[in-house]
Amino acid sequence: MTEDQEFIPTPLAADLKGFFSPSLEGKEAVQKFSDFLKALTLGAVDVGAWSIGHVKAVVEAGEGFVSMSSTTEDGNVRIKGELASVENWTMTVNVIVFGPDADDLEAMLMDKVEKILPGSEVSVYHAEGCEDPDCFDPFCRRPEHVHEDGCDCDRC
Amino acid sequence: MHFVLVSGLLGVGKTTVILNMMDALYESKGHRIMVIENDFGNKGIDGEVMRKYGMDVQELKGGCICCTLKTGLIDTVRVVQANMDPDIIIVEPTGIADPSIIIDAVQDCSGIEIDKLSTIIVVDAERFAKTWKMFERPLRNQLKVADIVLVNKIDTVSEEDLDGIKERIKTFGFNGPVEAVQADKGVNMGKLLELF
Repeated sequence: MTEDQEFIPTPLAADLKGFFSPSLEGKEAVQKFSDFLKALTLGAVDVGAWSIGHVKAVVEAGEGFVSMSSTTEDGNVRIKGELASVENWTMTVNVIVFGPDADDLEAMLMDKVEKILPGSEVSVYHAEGCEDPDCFDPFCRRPEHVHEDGCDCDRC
Repeated sequence: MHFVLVSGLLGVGKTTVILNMMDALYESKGHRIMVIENDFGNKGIDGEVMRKYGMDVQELKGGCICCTLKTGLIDTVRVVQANMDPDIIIVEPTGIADPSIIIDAVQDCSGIEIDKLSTIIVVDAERFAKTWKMFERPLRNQLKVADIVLVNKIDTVSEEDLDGIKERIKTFGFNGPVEAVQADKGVNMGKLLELF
């Protein structure tokens, strides 16, 4: 990883679970999921992303799945795979962008879910961060990077 | 064992390159291949997608293999080599990884036998004009260790833009092969197979 702090992205990961009633035709469902991913990308820009690393999702419904990816600020979505008629579905989404505050990013995600995929169950995974001032890994879990109050190590 | 690192900034299409490459390698050469996937997030999507396409994938999640998960990578390579003995291990680090740190780690490590090491750097044609300015130093670090550079998503740029990208890559000091590809359609991916 680069040592430049400005290159440290803000990550957001979430699982979504929902259903369409009545069920949607595959193409219609894929369009809805694609609209959601596009909205996430545009929303990330709205909350301060100066660069999109990637906004990715994989959706499973019945026997089918689609993977989707958006990497440009215009929210263009590349789609791979297809779905048949969709009733129940699950989605894993991974947003990695440069610039926004993590809380703003999460609030944006919840807003887009409410608007585009209302009624979905959402589980957000948080980066726990690290107490070591020289470590830039937002998912760091190295025990030696945990510093107690009053620690007399060189870094604290 | 051939150790192949497929590196590049976030969103350049590393996973798509690997998926396409693995199909070709398996079909044309019958190699046994294992992928080690390092998603920069608690939820690994790339690994899940690869598994759905029938790939053998080991995932290292929740950190970056060039720093906090370096030990995890080495352990994983050791275990994979000992238990599965693949012909090729393909490692996809996160888009923020410094590939030179990964290369040093596996080369210096006892218990890992590497016959050949190849580094493929993928860049995104669509975003290159913007990203090389924003991420010049990480990009230079990646190019320093590249054996081949793939300029991906060529369907999104003109010939003129593509020439500009290749020229810029040269100005960064990379004088090896630069291939223009569209990985999701398998366009021009054949050159990559010469590495194997």
